[in-house]
Formats: sequence, C-alpha cells, structure tokens
Amino acid sequence: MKINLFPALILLFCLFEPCLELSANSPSALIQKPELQTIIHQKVENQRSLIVSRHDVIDGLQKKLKESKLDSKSEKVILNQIKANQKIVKSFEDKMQCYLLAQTLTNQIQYLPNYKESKETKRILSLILKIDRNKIHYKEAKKDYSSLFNQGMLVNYIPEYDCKLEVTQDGKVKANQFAQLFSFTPAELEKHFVEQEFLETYCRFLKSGKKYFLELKFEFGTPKAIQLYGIIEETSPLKLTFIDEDYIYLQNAVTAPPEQQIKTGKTVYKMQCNISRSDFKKLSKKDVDKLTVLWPTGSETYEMMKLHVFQNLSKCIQIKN
Amino acid sequence: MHSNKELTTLGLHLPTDPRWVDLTQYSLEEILSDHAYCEQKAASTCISLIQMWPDKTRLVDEVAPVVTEEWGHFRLVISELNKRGLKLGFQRKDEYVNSILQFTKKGGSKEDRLLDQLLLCALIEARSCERFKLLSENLPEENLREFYRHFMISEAGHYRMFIELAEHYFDQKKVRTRWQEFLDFEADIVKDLKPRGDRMH
Repeated sequence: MKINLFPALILLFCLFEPCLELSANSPSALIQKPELQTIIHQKVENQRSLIVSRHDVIDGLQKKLKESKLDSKSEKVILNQIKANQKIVKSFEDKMQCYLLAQTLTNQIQYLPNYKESKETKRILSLILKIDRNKIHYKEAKKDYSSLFNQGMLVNYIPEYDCKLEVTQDGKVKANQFAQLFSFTPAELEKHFVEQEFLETYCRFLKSGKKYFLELKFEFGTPKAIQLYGIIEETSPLKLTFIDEDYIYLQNAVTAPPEQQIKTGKTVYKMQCNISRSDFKKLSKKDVDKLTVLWPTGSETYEMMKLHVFQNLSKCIQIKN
Repeated sequence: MHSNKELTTLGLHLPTDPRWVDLTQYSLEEILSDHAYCEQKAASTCISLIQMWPDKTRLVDEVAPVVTEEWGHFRLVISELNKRGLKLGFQRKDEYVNSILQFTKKGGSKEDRLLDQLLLCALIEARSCERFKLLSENLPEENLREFYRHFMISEAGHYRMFIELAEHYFDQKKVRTRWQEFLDFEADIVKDLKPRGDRMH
C-alpha cells in the first residue's frame, strides 16, 4: 500500500516552524555567536599585527647587520637578538594558529545540535582563555579541540579514547588508567603558575566483582595545599552535575591524608567513592558538566573541560577481557 | 593520626551535640520553618552588606549572587514544606546568632566592623554547613538527606567566600587571629546551648 507523505510533511513543517523561529532568535544565536566571532577576529588581527611588528624588528636588525660595519662582538649580539625575535615570532604564530582554530570552531557551532551549542561555546571560551594565558600550544589545541570537525561529532561527540585497564594479580579488581578531568588555576595565582597548573584532576573507575568505585586524584602544584584545603573527611560528599542539570552525590570512603611529594613539590589528594548501579548508569550515559568538592575549607565547583571522560572510562571498565 | 579538631567540619572548634539530629526528626515542621528563616536572614544580611559597603567592588560582585542563591534556598524550603502539607511558622528568636552578635565589635573603625561582619557570616555558614551535613547523613528519609546535602555544599561555598573576602580586604594574619577568636567564642556558645530539635542552630 502506498501512502502519500507529502501532506503529512507539510503539516509537520507547520507544526515545527515556530520552534525553528524560536531557535533562530535564541540569545545564543543572536548575541553570543556574533560576539564570540568578533572577539576571536580581533584576537587574530592583534596577533597578526604583533607578528608583523616583530618581523619589522627582525628586518631592521638584519639591515643593521648588512649595512653597518660591526665588530664580531656586536655582530654576535645582533645575531642573538635576531634569534630571540625569531623565537618570539614562532610563539606568536603558534598562538595565532590557536586563535584561528578557535575561530573555525566558532563557525562550526551552528551545525551542532542545540543541546550541544552552549556547551561547545563554553569549551571554545575556555580554549580562548588558555590561548590568552599562553597555556596551550597549537598541537595540543588541535588534538583536544579539533575533533569538533569530525562529521560524527556534530551529531554525537565522543572523541576517541585509548582504553587501557590495570588488573590485580588475582584478577579480582580492574581499574582504568587515570584520565585527566580538568585543570584549574585561580586568577590570583596565575603569575605563580605559568609552567604548570595549580590543580590537575584525574579520575578512573575501579571494578571489584559487581561493584564499581570512582577514584579521583587531585594534584596541587604546591606543598602548602594542606594549609589551604585541609584534609578531606571520610564522609565528605562529591557532587557531579550533568549537562542537563541532573546531579548525583557520591561520598568519599577513604581517610588517608594527602601525599606530599617531596621531589615534585606536589600535594596529592585521593578520594574513592562507592557508586550505585543507577549512578554508574548515569555516568556512562550523560556528559558531566561540573564537579563540586567539599574541602574542609569550603566547597569548590569546577567546570569540566572534558565532558565525556566518565563515558569513555565506563565503557572501558565494562570490557570483559 | 589527626586530631578531632582537624576533622571537625570547616574547622569548627566544637562539633554539634549528636542528640540534635535525632531531635529534629520529631519536629520537622519547626525545623523546616526555622531553616527557611535562616535562609531569609542570610539573604537579608547579604543585601545589608552590599548597602553598607557599595564601594567594595569585589564584595558587591561576590555577595550579590549569594542573595539570589539564599532566596532560592528559602523558596526551596517553602516548597518542601508545601509538599509535605506543612506550614511556615512565625519567625522566632535566634539565640545562637544573638549570642554571637555580642562578640562582634560595636565601636572601633568601620573597617574593623566589616572584618567582624564577614567573619560572623562565615561562622554562621560554617555551622549551618555542619548541621546540614549531619542531617544529610543521619535523617532516615532519603529525599531529605539529598535535600540537605545540596544545602551543605552551598553553605560551604559561602563560608569560603566570606573568609576569602575577609582575606582580600584585611591582613591575612589579622583575619586568622580574629577567626580563631570567633571559633573559640562560638564553641563556648554551642557548648552552653541546649540542643533543640526545632532550631537549626
């Protein structure tokens, strides 16, 4: 039997037209995207002019080297200046490449499903912040952020993840390798943490029999973390907020004090939480947006950089062999 | 091995009497009403801070969203009361807060009074957080435990904000010394207050 679908399609279009209009007039469509594009465009142009002016300096130095009769010592000084400026140009070019990547990503946002749009805008903003603070190189940025270009991601974004498991000798306990969750440096500490972050956070799942556990590792780039954050209590809760604003609470079950690494100067905290089946299911299906930790000195909420980490880890830990 | 003092929630010098959480179960309407007014007072205090110190930009920027959050909490407690067919009672005398208020400086410079106000707010948030933690761990009803976990985390964030604001506007050493004085004073008050199941503090 043949069914003529055309009238039904027209009806469907009419029904959904108001939604389409609404989405086109949403604040993100009208304000945020063009603003973001303008901001990035300005940053790219600024970077371009910085590169040009630095090239001018190099040209001037090269001209001086050719035209003036210099003794070998002065010549060496100028050559070193040229080298130093070329190095600066390279870093400027790398930074511009990063901004160009952010610009391309911004242009791609419109092709994302609506529910991903604000999250991806957030990700791009965090990328821009990292570029501004010289905390990311193009190679790294491309690896971490360019997966947006994959056609697949535009519909369902779960980047590739290298699944590696550790198993105890008796085979009873399985664990993922630690995966990075986010890094964080408070604005007021940025000048002290140029080469590294103040806090790097990693996580993994552990599986023992049918029980799942979540292990979190907080690495503070300072030996004074205990004075700043205290010692996490055994029953201290963790709140994981999903992208749809649903959330779960987990409870720390470890009393161990943080480990102070003398060699690296780091302080490492570990939390281990028992996870119920339903919470594990949520973690394996939904993007986690925020993590709130109740430190003895107050609670702190961190924005996730990699929303899919828990999904990847959960898939990996469930592999049977 | 760590001393109990280190493990007390948010550094409070005296943990709450464990009988308190048991008593709350028998007077849910009263404790929820009292809780609602605690949130209302927190929001009002934040508004007053902004009115008194409009020239302190960081204070205004950080405290303003807390007004919204605390008022949101007030509404959450009201809806919890409604859900259970319970009514918001009248506001009652807050012995705990009134006692601590005696410790804050009345005279002295305006700046010194700000330090005490910020620390007073931090202290009330810290004690509230500790009480919410007890409720979130010990109440028999899962929904209520979840309800209080949410507040606990939020209050701990506010506590941190007030301490950080104090350390932003005043010398860190001065803040820490005064904070210890507040904690000692508060421990004495808590020790003397009879645990009541119809009061948050």
